[in-house]
Amino acid sequence: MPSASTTSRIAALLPLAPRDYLILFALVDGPRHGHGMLKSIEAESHGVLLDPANLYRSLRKLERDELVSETRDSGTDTEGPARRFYKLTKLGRDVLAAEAERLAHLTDAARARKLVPAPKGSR
Amino acid sequence: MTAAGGQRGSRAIAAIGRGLYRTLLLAWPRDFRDANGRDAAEVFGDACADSWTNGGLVALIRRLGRAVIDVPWAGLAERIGDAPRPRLFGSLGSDVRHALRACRQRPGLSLAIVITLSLGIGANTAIFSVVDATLLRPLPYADAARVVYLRTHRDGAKSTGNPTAEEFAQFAPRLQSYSRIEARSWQSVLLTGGNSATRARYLAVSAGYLAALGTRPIAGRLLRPDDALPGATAVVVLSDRLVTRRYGAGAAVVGTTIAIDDINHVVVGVVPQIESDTPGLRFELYGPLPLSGPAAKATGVVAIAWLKPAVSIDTARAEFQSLGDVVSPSNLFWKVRELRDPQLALLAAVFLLLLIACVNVANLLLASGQARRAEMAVRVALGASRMRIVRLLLIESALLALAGGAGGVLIARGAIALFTALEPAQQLLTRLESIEIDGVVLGYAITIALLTSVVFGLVPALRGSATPPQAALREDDQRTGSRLRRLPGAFIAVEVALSVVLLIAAGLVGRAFFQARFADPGFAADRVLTVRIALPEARYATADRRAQFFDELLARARQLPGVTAATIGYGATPPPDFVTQGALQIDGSASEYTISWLSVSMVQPGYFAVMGIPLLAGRELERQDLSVDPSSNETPIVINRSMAKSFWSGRDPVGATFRLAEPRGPRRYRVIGVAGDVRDGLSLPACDPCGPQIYRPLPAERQYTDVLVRVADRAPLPVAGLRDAVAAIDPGVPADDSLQSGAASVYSTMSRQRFNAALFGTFAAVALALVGLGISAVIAHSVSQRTREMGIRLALGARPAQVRRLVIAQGVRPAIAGLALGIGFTFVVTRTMTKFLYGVSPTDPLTIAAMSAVLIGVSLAAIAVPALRATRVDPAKTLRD
Repeated sequence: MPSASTTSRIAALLPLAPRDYLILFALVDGPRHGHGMLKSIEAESHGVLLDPANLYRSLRKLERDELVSETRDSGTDTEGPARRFYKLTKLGRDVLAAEAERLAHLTDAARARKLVPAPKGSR
Repeated sequence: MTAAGGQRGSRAIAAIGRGLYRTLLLAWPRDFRDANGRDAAEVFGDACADSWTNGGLVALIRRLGRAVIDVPWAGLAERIGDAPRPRLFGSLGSDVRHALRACRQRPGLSLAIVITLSLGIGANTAIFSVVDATLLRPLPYADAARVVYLRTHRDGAKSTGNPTAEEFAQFAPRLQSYSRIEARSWQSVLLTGGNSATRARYLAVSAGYLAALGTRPIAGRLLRPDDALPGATAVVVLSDRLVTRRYGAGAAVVGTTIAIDDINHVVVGVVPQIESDTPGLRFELYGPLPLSGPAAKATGVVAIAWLKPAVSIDTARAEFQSLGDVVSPSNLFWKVRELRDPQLALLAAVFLLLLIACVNVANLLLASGQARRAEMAVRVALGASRMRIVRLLLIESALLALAGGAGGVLIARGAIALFTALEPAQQLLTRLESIEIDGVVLGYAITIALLTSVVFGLVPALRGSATPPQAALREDDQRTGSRLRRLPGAFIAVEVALSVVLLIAAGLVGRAFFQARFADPGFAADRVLTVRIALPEARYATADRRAQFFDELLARARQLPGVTAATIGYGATPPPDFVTQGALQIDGSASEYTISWLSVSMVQPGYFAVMGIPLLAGRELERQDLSVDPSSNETPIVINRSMAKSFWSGRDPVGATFRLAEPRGPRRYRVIGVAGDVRDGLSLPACDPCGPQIYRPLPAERQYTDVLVRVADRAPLPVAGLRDAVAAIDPGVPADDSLQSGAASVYSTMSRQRFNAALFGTFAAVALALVGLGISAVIAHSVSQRTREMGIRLALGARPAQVRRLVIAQGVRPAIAGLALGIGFTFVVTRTMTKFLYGVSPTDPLTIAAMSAVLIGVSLAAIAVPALRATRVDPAKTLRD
């Protein structure tokens, strides 16, 4: 359970920009380098292309906000030793979870109004 | 493509992607580039390689295109985002008016820019739209990215690269890497019965093939596995296009019986027109692929498989290689790669064209920008902010780019209409009817043009506005050694270098076309006239009736002025009309050959004389050969030279007998003669060996036959006479639309060469126009800037000829340098084009020399006009001004 001060910090960072959300989400399973993140994000978002410069710009911002940090641990990606790897910080993980919850609430609300089908619908 | 080759390709693409990206990143603030530029470029390079590997050229272009648009804009936003945001588009109306006035003040330059952009954008959009609609579309399969083709080797035989249906039936159930495996095999069949016979393309398919293409029946059902079992009723599924063509729209054909090659088939379903995975092939009938029995042994198939999501291509490859006891596995093969080389050459040419247009625009803008430094300095002196000047120039550039875009759309429309006109038969471009101006491409081309004009319009302007006004004005006055002054020369060189590549490429393709056009097709093409006769079945029900018709027609034809001989034949002029395949077993020889493409001509005695095909050995078909019963005896045939060479390698084939197991049953043949090779547009200008061909006796009483007449040298072709002869015997027999000279039928098969020649010809013409325009405008501009210098030179006693030489040298020197550079580059580029060139060497010296001469000629003309004007300067006047 996050402490009170952490809770207020998390609240200040919400809602996350969609791109930031996808970047943090790409790091859930462990540290990755830029190319790994890009592949994972593009796979998750069905063909949306992410521009690497924007990826790094977002990473800089997320690093300033202490949601991600650079690491030497190569984690799930093994190729390319000279690359910079990023990992999720404790705060980053909490913010991601809070954002996911917020989005889930929104989706539930949409379902309640029959805007989207229930989970066991056609898709 | 080998795995190593693929890896090399990916690495090269990653490197190109990195390089491009680093350039694009220049739009971003320096501190970002220092901290993350290298990483971002690395990631982009890897992503490009991924796109190429997984999605092919289309995915790669999509990624590159997005980056070209996104990265500079995002970078600009990032730069502006750090500073207080200026009102970039305040008082837009007045700025537009201002920009229009600025464009009007320099009408020549503005017009040159707009024309350049129109040509560049128009040609690009048109060609890319055509290429995209015809070559780049993904395979028609669902989940096309996971489709592989399974190829095999045949030991000790002519390798066909494809397994037989029998082999397919054996190995397909053993493979675990795929979620689905299907096979298909195409044949051309004759739809008989009714009042006319017609050729149609028939595709024998495995039971799930149509469903795998996402096809749903319009009426009836698709094929089922039990349709292919031995002894099952012969069934067929028709395309709605065939139903409309032959039976009339909306006809209830399901359940009826139709005759295919005289065998009755029950129509079980109708399906919509299906996109074939081979451009240019449209199928009209689908029947079950026999998976056992002699027909399965004789039918070569294309095996198509869908990789399971979790299985890598390497795993699948290894599994396939383990099938050694059934077939000799050759390789798994990604279908999407097959068209790559021609695609790349075309796209490279398109891109070169856009590059030339951009260089031209940059060139023009730099030249004018230099002149406008003074104007900018005055504006700054009068209190204009830099932002305001930037805004003004942005709007000016945008106006020019928009005008160019509008012109481009017009040109693209015209060009697409031209390409459509070149392909009336739609043999090559099956989807021409669906070609539209591709909005994405148009947007992409305009964006690049816009970026070019913005960047090159801004650079000199910013320099001008940064210089203290007094200095800029003084500099303007003196016009002394600016670094920018040397730039136009460099641009001329680059432009000439780029266009010489295109010009030589176009010259080579054109030469290949003409070589094929005027090559010897192996028969007297321009002295042969053919007419296709399909006798209405009701009135010509008996063989005697039919034979009588043809006897009478031949007698009448021989009476026509200029006609020296006449005969009937079927599939007897190129292109091959009747093609079969099968396993060939020569008596007394141990090896069995698989022939995947054997063209069959059915002819009568006298055929070779009519056609002017030389008989190289043995004898031709004679009257008694026509009555040989194929069920009990060997059918006497004449084979072509290439078939003799391929299968009898040096021994005399005359007298040899062999067995050919065709999909519709085995037949035995006896070779009685060898004739020269006949070539069509697909094999011209030369083929060695050409495809195998056999000449079989044609029974006189067929319902569907060609009449061939030989016309004496220099006599006109009796087109009307032959038509009248048919009508005189029976006005109900249509003959009009099938009258054709042999040369015309050969020409009709040259659509690919013709299309390539037109495409590259367009590239070259546009490139030439752009180069001429660019050089002329730059030299003219430079002359107008140096009027005062010219005046002084003339005043100090220089002769007009000296001044002219000065100006000409200024243009010719860089043009020559560019030519040398371009020719060097050409050697690299045209090597990739061998598929277009049909036997013309990619370094053909004649073409290179001729095209260089053309380019030099155009450059000289472009330089001469402004050079002449330079000497008309009145020294007294310029010095006074």
